[in-house]
Amino acid sequence: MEKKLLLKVKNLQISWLLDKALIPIICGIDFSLKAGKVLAFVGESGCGKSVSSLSLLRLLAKKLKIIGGEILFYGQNGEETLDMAKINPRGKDMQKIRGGMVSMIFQEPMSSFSPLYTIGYQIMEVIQLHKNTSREEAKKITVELFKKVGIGDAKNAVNRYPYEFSGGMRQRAMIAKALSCNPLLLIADEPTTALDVTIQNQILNLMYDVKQEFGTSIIFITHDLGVVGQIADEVAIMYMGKIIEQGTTREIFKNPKHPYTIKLLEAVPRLGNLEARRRLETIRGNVPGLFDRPTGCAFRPRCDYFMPGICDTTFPDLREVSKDHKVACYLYEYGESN
Amino acid sequence: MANKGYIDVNNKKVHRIDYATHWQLMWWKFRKNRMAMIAVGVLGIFLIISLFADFIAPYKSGTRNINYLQGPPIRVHLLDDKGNFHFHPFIYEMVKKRDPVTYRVSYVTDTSKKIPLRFFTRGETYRLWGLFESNLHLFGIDGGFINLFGTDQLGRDLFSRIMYATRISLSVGAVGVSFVFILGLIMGGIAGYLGGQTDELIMRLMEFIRSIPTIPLWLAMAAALPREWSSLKIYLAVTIILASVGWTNLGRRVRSKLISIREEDFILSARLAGCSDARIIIHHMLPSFMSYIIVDLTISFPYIILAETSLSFLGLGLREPIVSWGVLLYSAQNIQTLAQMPWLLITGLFIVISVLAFNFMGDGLRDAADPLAK
Amino acid sequence: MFHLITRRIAALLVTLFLISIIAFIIIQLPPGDFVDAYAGKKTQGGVIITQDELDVMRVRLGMDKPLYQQYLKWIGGVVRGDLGFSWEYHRPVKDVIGERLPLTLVMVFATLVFTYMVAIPIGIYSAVRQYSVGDHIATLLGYLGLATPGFLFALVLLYLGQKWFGMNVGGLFSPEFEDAAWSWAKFADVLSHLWVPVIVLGMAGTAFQLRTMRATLLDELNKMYVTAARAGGIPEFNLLIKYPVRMALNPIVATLGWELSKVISGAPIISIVLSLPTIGPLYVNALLNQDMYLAGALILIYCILVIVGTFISDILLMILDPRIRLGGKG
Repeated sequence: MEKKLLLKVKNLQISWLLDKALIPIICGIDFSLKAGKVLAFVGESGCGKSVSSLSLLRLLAKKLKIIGGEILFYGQNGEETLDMAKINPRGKDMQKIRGGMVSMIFQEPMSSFSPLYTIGYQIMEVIQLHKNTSREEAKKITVELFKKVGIGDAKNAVNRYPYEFSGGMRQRAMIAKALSCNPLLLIADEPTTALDVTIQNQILNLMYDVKQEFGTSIIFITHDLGVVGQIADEVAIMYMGKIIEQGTTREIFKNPKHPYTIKLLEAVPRLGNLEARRRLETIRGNVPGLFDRPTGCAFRPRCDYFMPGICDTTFPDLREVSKDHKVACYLYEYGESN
Repeated sequence: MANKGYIDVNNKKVHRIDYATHWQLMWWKFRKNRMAMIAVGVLGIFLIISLFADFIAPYKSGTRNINYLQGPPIRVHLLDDKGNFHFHPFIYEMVKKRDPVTYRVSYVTDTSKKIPLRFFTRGETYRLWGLFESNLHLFGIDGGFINLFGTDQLGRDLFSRIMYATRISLSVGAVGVSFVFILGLIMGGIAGYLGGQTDELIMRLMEFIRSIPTIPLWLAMAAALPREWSSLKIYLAVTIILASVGWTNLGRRVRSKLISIREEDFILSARLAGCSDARIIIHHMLPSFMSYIIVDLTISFPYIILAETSLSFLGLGLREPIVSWGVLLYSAQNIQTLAQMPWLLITGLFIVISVLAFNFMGDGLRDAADPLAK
Repeated sequence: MFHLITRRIAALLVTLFLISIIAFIIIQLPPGDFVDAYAGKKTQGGVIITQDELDVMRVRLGMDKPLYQQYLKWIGGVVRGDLGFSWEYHRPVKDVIGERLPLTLVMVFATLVFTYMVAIPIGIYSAVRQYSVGDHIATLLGYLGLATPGFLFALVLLYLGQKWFGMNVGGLFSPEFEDAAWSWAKFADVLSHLWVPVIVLGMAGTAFQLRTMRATLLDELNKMYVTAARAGGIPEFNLLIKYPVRMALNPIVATLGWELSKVISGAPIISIVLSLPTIGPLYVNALLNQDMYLAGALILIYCILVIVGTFISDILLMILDPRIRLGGKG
């Protein structure tokens, strides 16, 4: 059964307004997401993955402006589209979507809840808003949710303040809040980065269960390829504000095409490295600063397959290279060479 | 890529914030703040006035123009009463008229004689900074008096007195701030560095002082000063009184900054890298909190100035023959006097402008101290 | 929480005790004493006073005893409610102060209400609509408020009142109500006069709190929990008040005690300029005339007011911020 299309982003461009100049951050990205699928965004710090995710719900800071493109949301039926890039970020439509149809969890569970109210209150608030229930109803739902996400002593936990929770528990509470109104899409911005590995595992399992049970689509931002392998159906690799490779996880991991992706996968530490005296693979060079964007393909200063005269002209388009596998690299523009 | 401090993006200058040093960042941020830059300019003017008051003022602060008591400000004209433009600015003489019925004195402009304004004239002798004797004044007129801001009931030129008062009021501020700085740095430094009991004690002391309302405390202390003391003694005493209460804010800041910085990771890494204690303090710790200290000091300035003004206004601070802004306003205490000589309030303008300037500059510095904050 | 409160009260009493000592010392500081001042005034008036008469006076007033005994006598009386005798006014200090204290309290309270009711909304607006015209105007007014010393503003108002309206905006009563008994009409009259000192006194505080609110709110608005709450779909206005504003109120409430202290501090000078029948002018006169009991009692009252204010603001803070209440670290 062909899954319905949920979200389609077309040529999204975001720039940073600095001293009256516009500095490009996201230089036009395209992707789509079907219902019930998990799409992971991977990249080094500063590649723009967080900015992309925040822009979907129009939660960007004032100086970051969407200067072009569309964010088409297909809603429940898969038919009506709403361009979220164009609607009023403070309007009623946006408020209905946020928390109701699309929700988001963030990297820092420490600071995602206000210390002045109980966690229960902050979740009940969202429930009452979107589901129009009474206080008691909302409380019941919250307690159920807590049980589901694995927060012990749910009945009392609802009345506790954020600082009384540990990091892992706060993250679970945030997931509970995000799921409270049965959203169609959950955006997770590096939710496990700030947690230790055992908790990380639990959270990932929880998200997997959620996907199975509710059919929620998930956009998962991370820089950890291991996490991608565990949970993502599809993955998009980002570099300096562009998607440079995209496809199903299996395909990308087995058959990485873009030099950057290849290097990323090679850089994962392997068992037996120590005995075999193998050095850890790294990608030579550093990510260029925002003001030093190379012309043409942004990766070319660090690329072993750099072709002068070709790679330094314009940024390569994202082209389909095999089924469900797109790459933005001149190596594949003219068929397999090199 | 060449580091010229900025790059051109879409033909607009963008500072290389990724390569700049801390001080560069601060300066750029400060420079962007127009009000702060204007404030610095204004304070610069005040500084010049303070230093060269004797030269800028046409008369000494005690000089009396007995023909012009309680006289309103004399206007400088470029156009005469017939509408002709004269390149050389001039004034008209003010003639005393006594109303035959009420015996009230009033002044009438005599437009028959144009007295030209002269620059760099010779006038009363003075000793600049107590060192150089001179009688050169910025401006003046030949014969007669020019009272740009009018005169008081004794015929003293308000403009000159305000110039001298600027020097006194600002110097009280400067001296007071220095005391506050020293006291606050020492007390806060000891408290933050030693910690433990000493810290507790000093904290209690600071809280105690802060729980006493400041002005009543100052009033009480100022009232304790013997009337017979010389002006200089009173000047110093008043400054010390103001500083002895004002140091608590700075002390608290120094202490809390010291405590928080002590635990910072970058200090730990400096220690691990083998830096000596002295180097850590001077090279690493000091720059971090120097900017905040500078901001605090800049903000303390106006408080001290306002405090001295209030005290002197009530007659409990500085007194004649020392003139400060507060002393100048002392005669305005009486509503009748004020009604007859409203130009006395020009002093207030100077006060407001100087305090505004300090505040804007302080705000600019505070913003600059966190150059990367939005 | 109870434990916290009792600790505070204990600290309060210790502070009061120390202050009483300081107050006593300060009163004794000026050279000479009331008898000398009295003699000085009498001689100026042309009356001859002999040394013997002065000595008798000293004994009568208990001034021949050593200092610490004088202190104990005084503090013993204070604790029992006897604040001593005002030599200047020839009446018990309690009565002299009692006449004026209520008005002072009313004025201070009204000023505080005014300050917060103006500063908080404008501060919020300034932060949310940063760099808008309204923000710039508010900021400018804020700066002017800070830069203009209260008494200068009072002077200007007095002058303008005289020049434009030909009336004296000083004082708290119109002539007809001066000695009249309290009634609604008198109350209304006081209100009509009260706004001048309230605005003058409250100006600096309003400016300060406005800027604090603006700065703190700007900080809070950038924090993660605001974005997280916004992601839940909460409408902007509710979001604003419930989350960042409530947090930003923290430093505002914390400085309530301090604000009170500043208002009380500025009151004497303003009262003198505007000729208000409050305890400020009383205090300055007492200092100048070395009317010891009156001055001492007034210093105590000033300090008590400040301490009580700080205490109240601490309690308010505990209510507002659960972290303080429950001793957590957030």
